[in-house]
Amino acid sequence: MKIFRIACVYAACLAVLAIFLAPIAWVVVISLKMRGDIFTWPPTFFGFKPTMINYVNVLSGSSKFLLYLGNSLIVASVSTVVAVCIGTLGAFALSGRRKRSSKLWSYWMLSFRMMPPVALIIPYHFLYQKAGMLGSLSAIAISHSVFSVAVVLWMTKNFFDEVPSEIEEAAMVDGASEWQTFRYIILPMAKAAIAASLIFAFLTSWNEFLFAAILSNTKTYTAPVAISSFVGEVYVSWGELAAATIVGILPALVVVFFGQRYLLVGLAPGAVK
Amino acid sequence: MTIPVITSAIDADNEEARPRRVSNTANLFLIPAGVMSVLLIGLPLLGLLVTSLFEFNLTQMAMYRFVWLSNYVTIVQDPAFWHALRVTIAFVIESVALQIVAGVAIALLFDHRLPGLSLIRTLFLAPMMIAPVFAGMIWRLFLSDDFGLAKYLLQLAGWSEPPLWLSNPAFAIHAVVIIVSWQWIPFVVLFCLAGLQIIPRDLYEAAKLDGAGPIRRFTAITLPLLMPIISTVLVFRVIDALKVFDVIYATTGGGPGDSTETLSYLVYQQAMGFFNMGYGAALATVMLIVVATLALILIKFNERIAKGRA
Repeated sequence: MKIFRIACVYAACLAVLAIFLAPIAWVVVISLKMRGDIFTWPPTFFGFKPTMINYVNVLSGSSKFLLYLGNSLIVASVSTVVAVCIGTLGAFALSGRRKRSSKLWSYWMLSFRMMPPVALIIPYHFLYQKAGMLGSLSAIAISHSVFSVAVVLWMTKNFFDEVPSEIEEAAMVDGASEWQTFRYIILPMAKAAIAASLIFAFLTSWNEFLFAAILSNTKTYTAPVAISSFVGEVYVSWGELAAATIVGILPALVVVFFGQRYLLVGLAPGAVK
Repeated sequence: MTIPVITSAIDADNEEARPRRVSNTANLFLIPAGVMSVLLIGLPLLGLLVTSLFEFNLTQMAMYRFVWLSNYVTIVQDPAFWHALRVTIAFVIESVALQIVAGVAIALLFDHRLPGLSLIRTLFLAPMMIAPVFAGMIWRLFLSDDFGLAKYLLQLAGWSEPPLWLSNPAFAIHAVVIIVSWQWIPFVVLFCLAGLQIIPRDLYEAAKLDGAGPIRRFTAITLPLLMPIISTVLVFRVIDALKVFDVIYATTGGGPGDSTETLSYLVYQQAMGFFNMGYGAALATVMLIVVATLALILIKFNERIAKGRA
């Protein structure tokens, strides 16, 4: 009886998993099919000759998608570096202090998570137009970095709050300045938390669509914008689209497998300690 | 890892942390983040407010004039606004309800201590971190009428003519609900699993001895103790659902007709489609007020639930 119950639990868990992974699995299958195989009905999961041609086409030098992936990589890297520098500093200033002003700042940073990004597209359009940066990668990177700063700040603040104050006090007694305490005591302790926030900041930018869409031109599309531009096209190579999608979601999948411990803190700042 | 409610995390620091030496250097550390957030969030929002008081279309650059609140008057009389509001509210209710119910159910299923289950739990999270635009693309390929696996599976299950999900006005919004829920049910599950772990197991043993069946144990122990977490999750899911944009852009483009035109999409269309910057800004401001108000109410409500149960 007990074994029967356990078997049922396994079966149900696997069924749920299968349902949730089916769409991704299907895109993998399509990405491995030749054009003719894609349209056979009934659709086949295994009975076809897999090909890498779609990946080769998407990632070859002549494909524009490679350029767009590069754009995504540049924007995400730059905004992540900026965010980690500025965010950890800010988190240190806000952690474990009792001043009323720091609480207000915490709420202000938390509110970014709640704000509809669409509210910023009109001001951003004018802002970057005035600055002559419309269509540039730096405009996108700057826009992304402010949200990444909030992500980093929240994730590392969580960690800094748990550092016992004795450690800081001991450093002070030994004559370390605030900056030295931060740089040589706190930062090295927070390596794991910073690494996690780095990954999340990267993904925040990598996945972002709206700002990238309104601030880019056909040379500075990021990967999500490029993918969405396929929508209106008459001739679509579904196999290549599927391959591009799989390449585009790889960073996200890596994070899920290796950064699971931090998912909650990264996704729901302020809710998890 | 424990999960108190949103914002009480901020309060908790202030109660628990011992006073540290007040220092000015540390406050300097906040300056870059502060300046950046004011320049890139604060001032733009102020700019939005100002723009909303102008009649201003980008295609007629010379033509902008101050019109006081007349854009807001137009909004109230605009059937497209009320339609978008209705679509958004229906979407929020349907998608959040689905996510919470399915999320709690799957969390209960996953909350068994069996070998191999942790791998299943990890794999299950895959949809969560994918960019919404890519999620939309994945589902376009999955739901395709020409080569979609979904159609085939539904036919196998006996539904000979499943609808064209994304191009049928009656189904499109439900398709968007399914896509968004697919992404975010794992988030609810992750939260609930963390919550289930802090419920003491002996409570269940005691209830069993008293003769409580599985349903009674769920309603009398699990649900009440999970409530603070469910309400926290609810806050995040409602706010995110209100803002839904990317998935719609990548799948239906607001259509067919205007059946999936949410508030975010309406703002985008006015601003970037018709270049009505003044009117779009007014719409965005209204949306901002709706989201902020709802967020404040939900967070207060959430705090009360947490305090009531603690």
